[in-house]
Amino acid sequence: MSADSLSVTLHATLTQRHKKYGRGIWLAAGLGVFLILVGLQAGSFAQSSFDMLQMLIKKITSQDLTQQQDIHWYIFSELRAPRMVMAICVGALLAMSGCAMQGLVRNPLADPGLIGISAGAAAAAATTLALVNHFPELEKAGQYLVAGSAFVGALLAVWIVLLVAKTPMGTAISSLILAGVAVNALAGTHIGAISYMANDDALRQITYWTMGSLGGIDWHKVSFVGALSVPAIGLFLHLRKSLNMLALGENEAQCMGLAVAKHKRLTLWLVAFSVALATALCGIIGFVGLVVPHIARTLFGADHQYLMPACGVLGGVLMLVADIISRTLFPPLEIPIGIVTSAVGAPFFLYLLAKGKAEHV
Amino acid sequence: MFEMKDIFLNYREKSILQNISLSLSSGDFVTVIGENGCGKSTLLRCVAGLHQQTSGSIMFQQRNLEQWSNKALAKERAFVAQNNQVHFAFLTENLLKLARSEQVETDKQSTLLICELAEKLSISHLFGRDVRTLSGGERQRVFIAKALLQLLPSNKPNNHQLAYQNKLLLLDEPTSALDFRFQKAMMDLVQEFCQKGLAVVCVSHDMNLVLPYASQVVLLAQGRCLAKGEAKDVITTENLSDCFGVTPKLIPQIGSVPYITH
Repeated sequence: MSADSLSVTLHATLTQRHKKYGRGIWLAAGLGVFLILVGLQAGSFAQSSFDMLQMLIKKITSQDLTQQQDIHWYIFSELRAPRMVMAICVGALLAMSGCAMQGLVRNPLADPGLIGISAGAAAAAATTLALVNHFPELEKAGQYLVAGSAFVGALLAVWIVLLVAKTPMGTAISSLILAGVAVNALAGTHIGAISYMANDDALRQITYWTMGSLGGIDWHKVSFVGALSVPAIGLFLHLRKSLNMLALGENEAQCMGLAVAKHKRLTLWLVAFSVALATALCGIIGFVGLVVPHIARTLFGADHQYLMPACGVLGGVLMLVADIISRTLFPPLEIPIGIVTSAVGAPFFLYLLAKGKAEHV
Repeated sequence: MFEMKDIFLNYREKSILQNISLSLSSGDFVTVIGENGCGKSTLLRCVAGLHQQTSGSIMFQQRNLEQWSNKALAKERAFVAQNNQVHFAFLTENLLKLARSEQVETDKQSTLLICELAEKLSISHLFGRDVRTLSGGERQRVFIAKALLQLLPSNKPNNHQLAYQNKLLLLDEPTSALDFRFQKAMMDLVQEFCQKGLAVVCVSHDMNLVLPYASQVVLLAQGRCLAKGEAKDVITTENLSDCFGVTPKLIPQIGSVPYITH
């Protein structure tokens, strides 16, 4: 075959693949919209689509709602809608962080938690929860103090890890992972000590926080996370080419024109920021960052050009599914969402390990 | 176009390279040979800008190598390492496309350039294959194609007389995984690109294969340059026994460098 005809065939194949993956991502987004509609209706207080539509029309046309509709509207607009939006934001941030982390350390078994982000957040949140419980005067600002300290704790953990892993040649990935293990262990010890000393109330709150939850999410928190998520997601998409280059190794990436040290730093801080943001407001939601990139890689291949946006969309979808399950499995009880994601993620992780062992990865 | 002067490189108080100087012009093919661990790959990485020398200067296209930005340098020099690893399931064509990512051109243009080179290196049948599943030799050819694609300017076709003028290709054991047929084919191909202006620095243990192509040979021993020059002057029994610690037999060949054997 001549180069010209080969080029026509290859171009057609690449265009077809581009369209196929594009359609796939849009399809996943469509599934997300469907899940939002399901999620708005589902829960211990079920609402039919007809009721919702009726209320919406009345609200748009400024008609008065009945007393029962008022309650329904409140549940619909103030409880369920914000947590759905939060689920999408947090899911996208966690999944894209996982994708970036796996690309950076060139290991599909990596997770943002590997470098101690979640553990740092949990240690700081546990300390604040214990303090808030001990000093009742802090209770009013309690949830903001917990979120703020979790955010700072997460970034502090990453800063320590990066400081330890810093070498004259840049950040050493192996040292980064080992330092992450140490920080995780230290944070675990700290949480253990706090839990041992805490009273029953504080202990319960710490346990609940570390399980992750979308309960208590309001529009104020959603607008805060949403406003910060948009630039973070934009930056993740900007990193696609550099992550593709890094998949070939750092030296290869540098020879192909990538400022490796700069991009590594940017990726790590972006992952740290995104996970810290999600964790600060929703607690620890495990395995989304590990499982979603794997699912996306199976469906869309390893090219970050498609993988990264696919992770964003699928992360949102997975979190919506987990949120619906958490609210509908044992109504009126709500299971913390972190338990749902871990219940799905942990067996999947074991499966990956077994598969990796079989393939000698 | 490339000038390396009095390079010293120390690592953890150990001297790896001592007083190495090297000069290249467009179209040169320089072969670096020497015993295991003598600093050949380190020298290549120094030339690539991956290692910072302790002292000495490296000028590339009349500019200090340290002053080059990674992006600009990537269009002018490419490096093919000995062990090329891909950690995710990248397809061959995706990998080659990545080499064109810094060029301003349409998808059709880049696809044509990729196909031309793929045909030349007999790798077009590997399109659609996961690079991790390729054999060592196939992968080596894919990475050499990637390096050549990286250097090719977007405004010049592959067959242009001066397509690779002032570009530098660094090869670390490029034929180590290739079979008998492709070893020769690869060297002929590299020579063809040298005629288009490409300067090549090639580290190899297969002296009989690479020496006939070399315009200059550098013999390294314990981080120092033992001899440098044309192959006929450097490849002597005395030099080789000084370098490798064994005395080889040199079988003279008409119009070529001698054949080296034990």
